[in-house]
Amino acid sequence: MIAVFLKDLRLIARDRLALVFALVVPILVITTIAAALYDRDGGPNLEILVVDEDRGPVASAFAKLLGNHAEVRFAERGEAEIAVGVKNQVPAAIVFPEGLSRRYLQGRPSEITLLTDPAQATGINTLKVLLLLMDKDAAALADPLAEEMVSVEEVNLTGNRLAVTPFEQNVPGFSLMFVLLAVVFGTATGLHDERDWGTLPRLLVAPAGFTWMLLGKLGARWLLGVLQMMVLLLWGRAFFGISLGASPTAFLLLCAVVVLCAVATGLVVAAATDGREQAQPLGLVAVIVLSAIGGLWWPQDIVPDWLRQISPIAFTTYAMAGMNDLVLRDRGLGESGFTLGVLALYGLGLTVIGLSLFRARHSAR
Amino acid sequence: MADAIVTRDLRRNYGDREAVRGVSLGIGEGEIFGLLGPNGAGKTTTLSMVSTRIHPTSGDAWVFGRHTVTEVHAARRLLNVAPQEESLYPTLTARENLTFFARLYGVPRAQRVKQVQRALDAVELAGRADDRVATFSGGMRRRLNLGCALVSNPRVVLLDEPTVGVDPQSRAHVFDAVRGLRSEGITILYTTHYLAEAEELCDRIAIMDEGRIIALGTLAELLRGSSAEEMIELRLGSEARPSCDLAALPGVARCEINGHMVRVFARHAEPVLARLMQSCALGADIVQLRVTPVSLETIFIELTGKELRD
Repeated sequence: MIAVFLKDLRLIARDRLALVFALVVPILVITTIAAALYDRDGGPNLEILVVDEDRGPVASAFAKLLGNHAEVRFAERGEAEIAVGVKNQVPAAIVFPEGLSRRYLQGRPSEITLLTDPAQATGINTLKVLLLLMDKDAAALADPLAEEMVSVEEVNLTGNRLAVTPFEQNVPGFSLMFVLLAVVFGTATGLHDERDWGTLPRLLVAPAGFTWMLLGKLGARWLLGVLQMMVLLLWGRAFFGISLGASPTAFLLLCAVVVLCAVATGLVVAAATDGREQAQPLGLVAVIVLSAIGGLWWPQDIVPDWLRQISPIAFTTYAMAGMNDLVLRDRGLGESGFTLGVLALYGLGLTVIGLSLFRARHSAR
Repeated sequence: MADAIVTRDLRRNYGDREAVRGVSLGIGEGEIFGLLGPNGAGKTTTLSMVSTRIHPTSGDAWVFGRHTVTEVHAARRLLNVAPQEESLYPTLTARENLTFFARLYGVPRAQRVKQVQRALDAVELAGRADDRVATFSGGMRRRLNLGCALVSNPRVVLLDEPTVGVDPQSRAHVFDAVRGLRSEGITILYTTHYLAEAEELCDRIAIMDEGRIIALGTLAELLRGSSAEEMIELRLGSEARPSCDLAALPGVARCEINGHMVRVFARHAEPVLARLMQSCALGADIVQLRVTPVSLETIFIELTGKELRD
């Protein structure tokens, strides 16, 4: 027994890279999740976009009261509509309508408009709470016994519903994560299998060329991944009623480019490692970090600002944005073009890096 | 006879270690050429350079005039390899493995079924064609490994120790398949550390040691180069010991004494045998006596001063 114990310790110690990965994985995972959910500076800064069409004292007072709880930025209505409805930079914009001050000071109820992107439900809910606080503060300043003077009309700029279901918020992200897990692991270990089976030397000297051979292998994984992603999302549609957007073409293309990125990530993992023992922990790091940064587990608007700022480095950020465009915003192919393009470039770039690295490290030239 | 494989001063270094140190060969079309040497002699590295799998540190190799570095794709179309390790997909059947490698090597669809069947027949696995490789014995996998190298109908086949770990029956199958290839005019570069295989199969043999070719020729040529042509093998009785220095006897090239076994090497055994009996008073104690021609093993020991190690 002791002999086996010592032998196994020796074997583990020999594969130092696997050992490092095994230690680094939990540290990275814990750090990433903690960083995403908790920030020493108190979490994300909430930015409120305000359209002041009233230009009177009440709107100014409201904006000042809001400023006690969040960062207020003034914009014209058109600019606000683009920021919320097109660029999805903020979850909502508050429009103080013309004549608000006059009606408020006359003691007549007023209605302010909330332009929303329901895909960012968490931010909108936070904003609604702030509006209640603002109304309460304002009423307290004017007359502690006063009734609520302000009502809110919500206008969705990005889809045809005012609210999204919890399923719609969670199913796409978790589906993406499982596709990532399957594709990254499948691709990385599938490439190492060729070496374990002894078939790599034969592939290396085949007339077609090794790069084409690798692309063939990746193609099989890609097709499998696309099918898996489609099945998971169609399951979500059938059993949880989630929308898959207005355009089947956009849906298919999104699946295609997201899985391309995942396959290419698997290739890079395979290229960077010397065997399954190393590929598994590194693959796990890649999937967990990409999921956390890309907002697959939680909405991007609850994570700290620094994490949001670095999120464009992860293709999962664009994958999730594309998914939200389809599922939560009912967008079509034209409106998803930028996201699809970025993902395609990302996938191709990673593929080129992975191929070069794999050839350099594993073709034994 | 055209040169199928030519190498000129091939060298390959791994860091500071020189695995191959200037190998120059010319292998004729339709020849079975044996590359013989102990493990670590540089055989597989040489074969890998010819197969285009690795680039030489310096020197050149050509397959039917195609340079293995500058005309790599053209060279690859002419050859196929059976690597030392089994190179098969265990969850596919034998036929599926062969079909895959046929496609990989560009065998046209119209010829593929025929080529696969031909390879199955050549390695005598037609009866198990549709069984998964995972269910095969080691010997059957070795044969299929060879079959995968034949399925593209190459002009040159590189076989890297194809009988390592193979039972005698499968070894005989492999030998038959290799002879069958020769009868079809296919050139074979065959690496082995089994002397008997080289003796039995190869038209010419190069002996490698420590990255260099130390002898090259037909078996007869190699034997002629030896200081001995015959070996007298004596088994002595349990108490017997040679009473004189056997190596000093006229006509004796070399002598080995291992327990009760005495091996005396000589160009001609007959006169030496008489002297052995007269001079050393061995006659009464000899339990067994045999005279055989010397083998490659003798030559190898003569050339390298060491046994051919596994």
